[in-house]
Amino acid sequence: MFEIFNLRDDSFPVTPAGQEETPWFGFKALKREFESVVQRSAAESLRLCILNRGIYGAGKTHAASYFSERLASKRSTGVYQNFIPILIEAPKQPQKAFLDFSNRLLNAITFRRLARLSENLRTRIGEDALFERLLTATGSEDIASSLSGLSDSNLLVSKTYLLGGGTVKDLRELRLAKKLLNDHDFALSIIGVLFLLIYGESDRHESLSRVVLWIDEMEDLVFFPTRYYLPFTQALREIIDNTPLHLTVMLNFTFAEPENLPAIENVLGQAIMERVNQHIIFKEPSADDLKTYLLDCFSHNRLDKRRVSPTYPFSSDAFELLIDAAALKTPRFLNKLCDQILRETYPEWARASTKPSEISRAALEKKLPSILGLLEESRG
Amino acid sequence: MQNFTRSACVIDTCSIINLDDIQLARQDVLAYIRLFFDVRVGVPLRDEFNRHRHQVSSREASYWPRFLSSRRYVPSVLTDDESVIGPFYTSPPVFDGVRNAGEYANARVGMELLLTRQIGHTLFITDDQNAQNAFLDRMQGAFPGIRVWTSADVIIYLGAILLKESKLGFDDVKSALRDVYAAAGRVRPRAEITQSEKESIIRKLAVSVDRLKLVVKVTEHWRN
Repeated sequence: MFEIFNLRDDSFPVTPAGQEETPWFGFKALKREFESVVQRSAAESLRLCILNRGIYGAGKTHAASYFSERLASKRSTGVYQNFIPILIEAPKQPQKAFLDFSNRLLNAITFRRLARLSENLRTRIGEDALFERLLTATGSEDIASSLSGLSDSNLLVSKTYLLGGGTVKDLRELRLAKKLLNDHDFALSIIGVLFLLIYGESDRHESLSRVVLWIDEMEDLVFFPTRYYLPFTQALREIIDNTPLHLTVMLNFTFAEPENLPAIENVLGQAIMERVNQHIIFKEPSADDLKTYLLDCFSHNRLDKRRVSPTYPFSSDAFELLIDAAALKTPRFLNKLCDQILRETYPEWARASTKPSEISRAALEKKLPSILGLLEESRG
Repeated sequence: MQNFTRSACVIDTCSIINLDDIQLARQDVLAYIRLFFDVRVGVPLRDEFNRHRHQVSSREASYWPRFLSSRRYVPSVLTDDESVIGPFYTSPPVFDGVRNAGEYANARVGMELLLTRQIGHTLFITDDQNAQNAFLDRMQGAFPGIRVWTSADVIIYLGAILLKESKLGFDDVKSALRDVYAAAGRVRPRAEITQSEKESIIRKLAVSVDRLKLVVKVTEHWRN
C-alpha cells in the first residue's frame, strides 16, 4: 500500500516490528547513553543495574530489542567473548511471581542451551568440579547436582524440576531430595543458571560471557500486594547480590512522570532501588528529536532513494505541521499518526489520474483534526 | 474505645472488596471499620456484596453479609434515585434501579441521615472513581456534611491512630496502602486495565504515601 509513497508497508510499527534488524532512528543522546552502558558492560566485570524510565511509547521496549540484537552479535570485546542478552517481561501473576519470572527467564534461555552449556563445562573441568563451583555459587546441593548433570538424556526431567515440578521418581532419577518450593529455591536455581551462561560457552578453553538481563514492564509490580511483592523483590535482590560480576540488569519502567523517582520507588521498593547504579530517562521528545526521528525513519524505509526529498511523501511545510501536531508526544504516537495519514491519503492517490507530487500542507490541515481526535480517543 | 464517638459512614461494595484481607497491626481493616465507624448502608448493598463474594477471601469478609444486613437503613423520605441523585449530574442517566444501585442507595442513606438530624456527618467510602466524577464530587460540594473517602483514606486514618499508639510503623501502613492499590489488579482482569489507569494508580499511591509521611511526622511527636 505504501509503495505509492515510496515507503515500505511496515514503516510505522506500533511495537518493535519483526524486521530483520531492528533499526534506530534519531534520539542520538539517548542512544549514546545506552551505548555507554554497553561499553561499561564490555570493559568492566562488575555488575550493573540500570533503571530505564520513561513515558508510554517512548521506545523502552524498542531500545531493549535494538540493543539485545546488537549485543547478541557482539564478539570478544575486552573482558568477554560473548554477550548474552535476555529480554523478558516482568511477571504478571502476583501469587506465583517468582515462578512466573523463572519460567519466562528459562524459556527465553531454553533448556537445550543450558544442557549444552553444562555439557561444555563438564567436558572442560569435569562434573565434580562443576558441581563444586555450582555449589559455591548457589549454596544448594540439589540445584548444583541438577545443573551439573543437565544433559540431553535427562532434559525433560530436569526441565520439570527447574520449573518447580517433578514426581518422587523424577527426583530420584536426578538424585535430588526435594522439589523447588519457594521463591528462595527458584532464586538459587536462577543463580546457577546464570553461572552456566557466564562460564559455559566453550568446551575447549576458559570463556566468559556477560549476561544482559532486560526486564520490561516493571511498573506491573504495582499490582503485587505486599505479601507477594516482598518475597519477589527479595528473590530478585538475591539473584543480583549473588551475581556480583558479569551481569547487567536493565529494568524498564513506564511512567508519565519519569522524573518522579519517589513514585517509582514506591512500586519497585527499596530492595531493588538500592541496587540501581544508573538511570536512563526517556524524556519527552522535543520537536527536533521527532524531526530527526521521522527523517531517519523515512530514509530507512525508502524503497527508491534516488532523487527524492527527505520529507517525501510530505512537502517540507506539511512535514513541519506534522511535527507540530506530534509535539510533546512519543515516537509511537508519531508512527500512528503517519500511518493513519498515509492510509487515508492512499485512496486519493490511487484514484488520481496523475499521481500527486506530495502531500501538501493544505491537504494535511484538512485531515489532521479528525485523525488526531481518533488517536486521542484510542489513547494514541 | 469507651469515650470514642464513632463517625458515621456508608461504604461501597468495591471498597469492602479492596480492603479485604488487608491488615494493620495484625487485625483486618474491615474489622477496624466495624469497630471505628457507625456503618450504615443502603438496601442493595448486601446482595451486591454477595454477588461479588468470589472476590473476597478473608474470614473477616465472611462476617460481612450479616453485618451489612444488620446495618441496613431504609430511607423513608429520600426514596427516589432520580429526584435525589439526578440533580448532581450534568446530564442525568436513566435511573433503572440496577446500574450504580449501591452508590445511589448509599448516597440517599447518607443524605437522609444528615437532613433528618440523625447524624452530624457522613463519610462516603468508595473507590469508584466514575461515581465520584459523575455525582459524588458535586454532592460533597453541595452537602459539606458528606465527605467522600477512598479505601486509602481509611488506611491513613486508622494508620494515624495505630501509629500514635505505637502499634505499628510507617512501613506497615505503607504496605497496607500498597495492598489497597494492588487490589485493582485482583478485582479486574489485568488485560482490561489500561496504561493510563495503571499510571493513575502509581500516582495515587505516591500521593497517599506522601500524606502518610505527614502523619508520621505528627505522630512521632508522641513517640519521642
